[in-house]
Amino acid sequence: MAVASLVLGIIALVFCWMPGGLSTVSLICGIIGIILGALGSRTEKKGAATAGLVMSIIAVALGLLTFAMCGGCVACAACTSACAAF
Amino acid sequence: MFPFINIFSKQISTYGLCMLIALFLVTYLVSLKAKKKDVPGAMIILIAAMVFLFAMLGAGFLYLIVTYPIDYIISEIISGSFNFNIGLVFYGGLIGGIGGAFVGAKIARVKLMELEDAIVPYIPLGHAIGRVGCFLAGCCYGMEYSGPCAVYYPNSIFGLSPDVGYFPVQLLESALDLCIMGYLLLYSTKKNKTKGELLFEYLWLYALMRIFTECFRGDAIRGVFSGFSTSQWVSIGMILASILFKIFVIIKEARSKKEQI
Repeated sequence: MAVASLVLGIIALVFCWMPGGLSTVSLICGIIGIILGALGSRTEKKGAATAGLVMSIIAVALGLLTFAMCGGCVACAACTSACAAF
Repeated sequence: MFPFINIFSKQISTYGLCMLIALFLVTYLVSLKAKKKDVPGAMIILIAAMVFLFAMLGAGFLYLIVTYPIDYIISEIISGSFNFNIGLVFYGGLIGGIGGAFVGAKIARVKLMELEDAIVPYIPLGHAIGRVGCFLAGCCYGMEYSGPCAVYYPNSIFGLSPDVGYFPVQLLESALDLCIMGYLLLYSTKKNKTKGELLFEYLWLYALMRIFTECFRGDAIRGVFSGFSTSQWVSIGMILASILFKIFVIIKEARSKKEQI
């Protein structure tokens, strides 16, 4: 679980800068990474679990900022078409 | 108002930033209280992540069903084109978030209702910060208004006229949410509460506040049915549910008093 959290955290960090659908990938990977990292903190591999948890939290935070640029509370045709251009 | 700000030459959504601040601050405050009940911070983070996920899904789903006809939604999903504008409705987020909290608690193997005093008072805090985000983004705007404190949106991304003033309903809701938080923090110190009592206290208070503030909203896109907005109908449902719960608590207390005699 700890190693899986680490891997998902890295993947989420890679995708969190990308707009539109790819930032959604970082949000999903990041949330799963947080779950596995939290559960992994109860096991022996606490270091890897903590690293995975921290990276996943950062990725979700950055992914949320990127996602909110294109979606979030914005019911805006201009914004969604700008995202579609990526 | 200020839908975007520049940080290190990168354009950042102010709404997203406010959501982030709300999520982090509420998770931190809840984890401080949960420590007193020997619940590790990592488990609170896990529950917060599930709440966030389910809240986003719930809020987006409710926005879809009040904005588009159901047959259009089904046909778009079947065809795979997903030609929707994205939006969020708070009540969908609240209901989704409550579901997410139960799922997260199940995964973390934590008794959620024992954390009721730790979690419920901070829900309106998160909402208050989110409403500031709405104010900055210019969404969830108020009705046209030219009195004191009228707000103008010179660079609105929602097509609002820059020459028309709007009621700052987002800031009103934020201030009332903070009042609800203060009341709930006091109520949480009450002894011998029934499980769920604090949650239903929040639900009926928020529902009452929402019925009031909806009268000052100007974004009818969220749906209006028989003179009431979607959120007002949900609020009426919440108040009815809270009344039923209160009756249940009264009957339960009366029965336990009878058994003691």
